[in-house]
Amino acid sequence: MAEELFMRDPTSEASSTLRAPVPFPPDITGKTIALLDIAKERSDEFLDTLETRFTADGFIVKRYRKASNSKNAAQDIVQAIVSEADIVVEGLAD
Amino acid sequence: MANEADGLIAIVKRDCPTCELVAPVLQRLKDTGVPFTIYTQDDPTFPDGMDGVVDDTALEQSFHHDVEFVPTLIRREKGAEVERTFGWNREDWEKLTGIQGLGEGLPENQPGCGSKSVEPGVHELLQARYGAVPMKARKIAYSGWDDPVEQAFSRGWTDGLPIVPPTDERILRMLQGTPRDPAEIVGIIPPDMKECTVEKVAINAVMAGCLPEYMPVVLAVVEAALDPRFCMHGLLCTLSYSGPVIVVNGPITKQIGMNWGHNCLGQGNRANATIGRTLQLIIRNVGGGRPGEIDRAVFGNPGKFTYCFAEDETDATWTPLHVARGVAPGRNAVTLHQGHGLTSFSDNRSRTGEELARSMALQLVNDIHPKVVQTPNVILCISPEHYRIFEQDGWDRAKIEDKLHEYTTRPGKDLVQGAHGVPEGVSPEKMKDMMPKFWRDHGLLIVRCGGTAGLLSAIIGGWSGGRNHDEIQPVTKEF
Repeated sequence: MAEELFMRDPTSEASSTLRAPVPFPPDITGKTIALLDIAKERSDEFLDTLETRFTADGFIVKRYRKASNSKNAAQDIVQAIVSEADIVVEGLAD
Repeated sequence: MANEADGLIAIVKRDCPTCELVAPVLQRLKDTGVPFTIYTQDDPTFPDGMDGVVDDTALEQSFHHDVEFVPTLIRREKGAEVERTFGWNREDWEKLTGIQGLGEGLPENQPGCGSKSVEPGVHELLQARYGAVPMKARKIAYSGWDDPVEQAFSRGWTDGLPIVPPTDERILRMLQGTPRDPAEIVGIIPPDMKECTVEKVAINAVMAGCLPEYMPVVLAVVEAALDPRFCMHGLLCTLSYSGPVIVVNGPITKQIGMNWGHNCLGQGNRANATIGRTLQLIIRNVGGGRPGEIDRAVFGNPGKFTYCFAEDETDATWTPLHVARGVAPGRNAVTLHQGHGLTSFSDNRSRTGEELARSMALQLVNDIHPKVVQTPNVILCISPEHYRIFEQDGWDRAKIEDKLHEYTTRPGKDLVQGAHGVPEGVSPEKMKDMMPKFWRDHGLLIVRCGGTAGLLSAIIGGWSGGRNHDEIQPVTKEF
């Protein structure tokens, strides 16, 4: 009865990798902030408010938008944010 | 391992009249002194009184010798089989053994019986135990003292209900339900974007409780769910209620015993229940989409355990869903809808198509919110009794659809934000427009199904993601 039996693994058999987040810049003065609109309803209203306030505080703001909230951001958007901005704010809404 | 010795080999069982018949022949062959091994499948004392009979009740030798019938007589030379015969045929046995005059008094010929090693379900068990298997998935060992069902729970493999442990013999049986290579990649499963092979589909189908003959449907369902238009990634992580809802059409629904009649959206039918469950287990196990993690549903819905049914195609006047969506009549197809729940629609007083369509429209406009339009796609399940009212007026699918779209189109002034004291609604700029509730090409999927008694129909609501109608749609896949 105590023999060893086995089942087959139904999962992808992947092991997760923990990656530390990029450290927050010690000084954000004059940094470029990306505002990513995830295309949920009223995301733009929320991000418009942020843009106004960031701009008033001297930040450079760049806007990006996903095609739809239900799908992942396209690779070119991700790469553009990485190459063009220092900080990203991803906007939810509804 | 198979016996590698040269000479004669016989495989027999007591529960075979022909094996009983040839017992004296076996004794005579043994008496000649030629190397002779007799394997018995069911009773180590059979043939009675014969020395040296080898117990093969574990069927290992029968499996290795690929025995389909008993008695089987094999002659081996130089380590390899050179000839075999099965059943009793005097001429064949004399030719194989080179000994004349065998079986005096016996008939010239008598067919044998099936080998125990090829009885239903046994062969896969023997293959799992003694043979090579095509499965590549990692083996998860457990002690004979452990309950494999509890092991599956503890590993997070289940949807909250017990699963059938995915052992090799069960997976082998499941793989027999498809001619496809177990290593073939069916698609990339979100959210972890991991490859899913036919083998992984079979493993999860075993766990869900499927029969092998469901595999063609299951594979079509997985492929449909991975069509970019279905947006499985977004659906599995939505705040909304929805999950995949599966409608199956075509001859296979009858072949595998699916339910399109009484309680077709409820419990009690194995195919309905397990096909839908398999997709959800694959999303969970292969894709990593789990509630409370990336699945952020506020409520979810009971259909996220399983939501699968067939359409009633027994009425020749009705155009089935898959045909309406471009699949040839007589072909099989699955249609996947991003949906949830069930809204009742009971109307016992309408007696004309016109009355019934207007009545249905009153309920259809309410999905998600009465003032939200062109967002949810819905399935309308029309019962046979409700369909009969349309059919008696000469209304076919096309006319029913036309009228329901017409009667669910309303003035913008009633739907704009703030109208009727309700902030929710469409943009104020739509004030003077007429606003259809559903997208014309795919927003209203009608399925004829349900029990034959009852002036009831049912609405399966849709996902709010449907507002992105160019990108997110129901998907039909032929197979």
